[in-house]
Amino acid sequence: MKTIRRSQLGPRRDFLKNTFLGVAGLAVPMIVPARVLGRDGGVAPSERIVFAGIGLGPRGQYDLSVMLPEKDVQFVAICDVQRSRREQVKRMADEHYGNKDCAFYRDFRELLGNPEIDAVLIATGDHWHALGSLLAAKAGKDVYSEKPCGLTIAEIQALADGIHRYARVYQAGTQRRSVSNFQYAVHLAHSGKLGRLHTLHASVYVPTKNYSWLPAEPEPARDECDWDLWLGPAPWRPFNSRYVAGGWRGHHDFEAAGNFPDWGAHTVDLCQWANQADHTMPTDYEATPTSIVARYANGVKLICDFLPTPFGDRSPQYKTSTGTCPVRFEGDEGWVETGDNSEVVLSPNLARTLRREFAGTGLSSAGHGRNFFDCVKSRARPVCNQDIMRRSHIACFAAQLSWQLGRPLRLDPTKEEFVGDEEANRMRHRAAREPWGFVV
Amino acid sequence: MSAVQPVNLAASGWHDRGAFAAAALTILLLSAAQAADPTGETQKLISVLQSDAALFDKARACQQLGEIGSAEAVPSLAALIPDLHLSAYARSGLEGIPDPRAAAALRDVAQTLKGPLLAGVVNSLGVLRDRQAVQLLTKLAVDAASGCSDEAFLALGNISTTEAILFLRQALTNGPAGSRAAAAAACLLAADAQRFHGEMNQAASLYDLIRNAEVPMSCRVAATRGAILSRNADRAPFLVEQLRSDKIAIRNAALLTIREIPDDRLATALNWELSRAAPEMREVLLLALADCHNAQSTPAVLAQVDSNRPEVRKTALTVLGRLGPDAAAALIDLLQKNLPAEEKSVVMNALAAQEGPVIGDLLLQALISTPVAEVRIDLIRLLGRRGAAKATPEILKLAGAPDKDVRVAALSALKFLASPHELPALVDLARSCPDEDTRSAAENALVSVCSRSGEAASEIVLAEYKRATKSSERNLWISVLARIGFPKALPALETAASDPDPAVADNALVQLAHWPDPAPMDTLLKAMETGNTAALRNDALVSVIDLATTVVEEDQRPEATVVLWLRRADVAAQSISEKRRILGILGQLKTTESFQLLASYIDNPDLRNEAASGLVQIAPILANGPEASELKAALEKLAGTVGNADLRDRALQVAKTISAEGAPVSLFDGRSLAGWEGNTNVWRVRDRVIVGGSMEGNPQNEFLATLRNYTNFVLSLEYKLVGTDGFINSGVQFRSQRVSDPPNEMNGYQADLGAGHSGCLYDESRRNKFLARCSDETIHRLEKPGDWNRYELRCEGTHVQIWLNGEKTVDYAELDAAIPQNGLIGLQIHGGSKAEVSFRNLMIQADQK
Repeated sequence: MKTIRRSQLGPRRDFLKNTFLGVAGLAVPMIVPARVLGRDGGVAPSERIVFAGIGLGPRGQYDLSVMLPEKDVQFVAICDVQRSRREQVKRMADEHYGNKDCAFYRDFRELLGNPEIDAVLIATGDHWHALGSLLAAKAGKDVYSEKPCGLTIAEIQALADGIHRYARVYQAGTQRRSVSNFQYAVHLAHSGKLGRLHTLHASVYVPTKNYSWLPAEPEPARDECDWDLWLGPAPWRPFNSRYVAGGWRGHHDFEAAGNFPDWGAHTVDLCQWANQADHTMPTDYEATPTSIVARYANGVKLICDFLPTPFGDRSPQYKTSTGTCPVRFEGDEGWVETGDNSEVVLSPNLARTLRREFAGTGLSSAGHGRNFFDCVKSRARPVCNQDIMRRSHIACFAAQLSWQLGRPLRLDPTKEEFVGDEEANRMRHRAAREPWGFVV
Repeated sequence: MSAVQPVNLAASGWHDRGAFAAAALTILLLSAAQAADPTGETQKLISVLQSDAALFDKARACQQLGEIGSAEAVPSLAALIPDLHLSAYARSGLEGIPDPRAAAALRDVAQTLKGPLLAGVVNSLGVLRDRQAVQLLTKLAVDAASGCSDEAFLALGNISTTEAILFLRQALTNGPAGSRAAAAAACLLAADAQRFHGEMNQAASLYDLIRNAEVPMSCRVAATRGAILSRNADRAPFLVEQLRSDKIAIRNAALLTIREIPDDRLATALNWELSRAAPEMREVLLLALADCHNAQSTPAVLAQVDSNRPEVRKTALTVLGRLGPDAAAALIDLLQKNLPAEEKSVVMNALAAQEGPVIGDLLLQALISTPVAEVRIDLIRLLGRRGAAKATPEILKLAGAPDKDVRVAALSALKFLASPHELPALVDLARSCPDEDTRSAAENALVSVCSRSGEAASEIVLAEYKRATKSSERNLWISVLARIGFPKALPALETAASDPDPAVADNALVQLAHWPDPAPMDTLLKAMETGNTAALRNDALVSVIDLATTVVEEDQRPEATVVLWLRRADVAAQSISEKRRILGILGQLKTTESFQLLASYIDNPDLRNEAASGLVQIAPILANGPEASELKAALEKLAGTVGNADLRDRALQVAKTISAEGAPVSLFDGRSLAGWEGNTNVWRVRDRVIVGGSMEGNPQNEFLATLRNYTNFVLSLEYKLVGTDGFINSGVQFRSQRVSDPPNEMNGYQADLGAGHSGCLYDESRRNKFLARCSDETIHRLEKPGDWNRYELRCEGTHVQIWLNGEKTVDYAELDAAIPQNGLIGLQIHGGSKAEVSFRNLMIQADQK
């Protein structure tokens, strides 16, 4: 008898682990045109996507840091109304490429006028996302935009329609659709392993409403910080340095829907996906003291749980003890929950039958960016394209409005209007400050 | 704020969908005006607008009027439009009020304005789709001096009355070149509206006009999309024509539009186009076809599998994997052909990933009908990967097939497919295997089924062992039981290790090395030292080394324990090869004893390389430990003797970081976290910098701490802290301790960093207060937020000093004698934030005394 020595085998856990099809088989296989990469993995300059950034603060710089290593992408220009930020990004790009070529602009219209640029990354404050994306599309650029992608329902509609009109590729920065543990949880919902879905949990901040203005400070020199351009379509208010340093968050005219979509754009989007509801959205919305409860036409409940803080202990709603952004999908045969710590928690019956180790791969936006760049080349639709974005965002806005108005709302998902509630319908829209407009 | 009575108000006219549906808007507006605001909220808000209230209050009143106000508010809102600060607020109010008087007021005020304020009013008229504004807007559009010609064009496009469209067509074809782009954008809006209302011919004609005009490419791209969408009977040939354009932007528009209308006629045309398209177009066309999900595309895509371009072939195969069961059948057929390895793996992956039980059925049918061994093997593998339970009986049958490779493949698939139900059959197969490979595959399947199925299954194997008499059969079950690690079988197996039958004893010693934890270690060590024959002693030795390897891989026991086993193994080991393996494991154990054992082999020419490689691996962790000088000497010695240049360089590099005379040394080797411990999901090395935390969110405080303690020292470092949300903060712990509950925290002194506290001395998780603070003004002046900043910490006895970017911010004397003046150095990222902190150039000059 031939004796197999322990040392002839690989690590023991490899033998025990692979009891089921690997994660690679879960999602729709990603197809990349083969000509993208040359034989040596390098990419000819003519095949590279010429890429630029608009308004990259800390979040945008993070996005850029995971996009810069893409071999078929060449980042050539940055626009920011704040000098320190455009200089920072230029330094970042120049250091990466080992040259001094990154162009920088204060006014994004000059950047959009450069016909060499194929695609842009938009990571301004919320109030510029929709119009910036629209004007980029009109200039013939494909767009990766940070979320929330617009300030109002009307902005979201104008944005999605405009992206269609100008035949552009658009990716919303709701990158968890490209993160493996969330993909796996959705796969369980789609494969029927949870039985019939009945309840979806999407964590959100406790919504807030703040109309106040910060005290006036002298306006900085335009080259340091162009306050008028920073405001853009938002209505005028006196300058305060805190807004431009990131403190715009929480302010009604700058942040989407009282910070509900800050997490909701991710968590509601994931629930839409799990519920195979990307073509529609919940119809009924009602706030409770601890959540906003929405219902789909097919009876599935979407509970947007308020978390006092997105971090730390979140029992009893959620099992995942750490990890921001938890979602939980419940069916009549089991449930799954996951969050940013990559952990996948299963109902005990599923944990027994699935017996699989799920190895998370972290939270990087890289996969989401890669999906965008592949689509820029193939003209296929990114995983968070404008239509997916439109519905998950409008669902967020509807939920937040039901909370703000303190009454149940019914939404017609086709017409995207509230049934029998004039005030809610009027709150779908705000005027843009001159000379800006959303009719583009 | 009061509830508004339900009104069936059509969507106001600011977006495509609602607005196009709002032909009846005007009628509804009248009823809306009556219904809104029954409690007189409008009046209160109007009085705010007319008072000398603060700008803020007026701005808010305007916004609220847009949400709940009735038509009475129109004049007061219109009066604020000329106000530079309130204009947009006032227009928000007017755009929200569903009454024709709002638009009328906007038209009136337009006469008195110019510049941006006029542009704003023009935009509002466009948003409201005010048909009565067409005349005013055409006048502004043609007047280059109006300053809002572009806005007027767009507003006309959005209003898109017959009159407006006529004007826009004229402007596009005969108007001045300067306004052609604006006219084109407006025509696009109008054409989209026509298409939305089902006026396809008119829309197509307008799109064609834009496509053929001298306008920016982005407008032509948009018009190309519209032209495709608005065509019906001739859509497919028209789209194909665009795919053949010499302009890549136009081809791209067509490719993108395919995704909006994946209808069958289109797929048919594309199927045909695929066969004659330029080679560089084929890949993108294939991808487009995949998004059409049209089963009839299978033959066309299949034809590309024979392309002479490898990348086209591969894309075609991948696309077939997305076209449904028909294509799956074609892929299964392809498996029967001799594909190049890379393409075959694409086919296998496509078949493994395609969802639906139908695919499993197809694979099973193919398996039953094919006689070719190679094909059977592929099909068996696929069925195994898919977990196709239905195929289990057939595959179990093939586990006894005449072809050995088929048998092995079948048993390997059963590893995934078999349930306890198949266990007796597997037991029989294992017992009667005609060759070693089959037996080994059967053994694997048994181990896997037992590991998955709980005790009862393992009991069956144990019973087989107890019943077996022939040594070959006993050996088989010993091997299975050891690999399952069935605890109830351990005593029997340990007894077998001293079985009178040397073949059984020998095998038991070998197989115990497969045990999943070190439970048999004592038995093995004893056999290694006192076994009856040299052969048995050697088998035991190898198993000790094997088991120790598993324990280290899976971190099952403290390193010190493993070193003790290896010292005994080192004494027992005679041959160079076993010594090499022992040294290899020691190189992963970062203890003083491990270092000493490795160092003892530097002079042995046969083992010098292994010893050196182990020493170099563990040296960075021990470099700051009590044996540092001994280590430095050993490293310098091996640098002088070892032949391998890479090892020599690394030895010298580590030796350099060990300070002999108290010169500053680096706490960070630039590429790993050697010498540190902490949550490596949070802390990592990026571009020669230590990075902690995440822009996605930091759930809790996390620390990266040194492995050794420091008392008196000068520490300098550079940090950079960036963040978007929450409490964006970090810090540098010193003279600190890890705490056990919660395990992520540390307590002790902290040079605080971020959230306005940089340069200050905080007492973390202990006295929980600032021990010394510098002024906000100082922090503001010294620190460069979001950029690299330099910290210097000096600890001498009870005297603690901190410098931020070269200026002293803290000079503190500890008066509480109970506070320890010795401890770890730690880097913090604060919880409750989306933030990332980076550290570099961490240099320490420690007082060795």
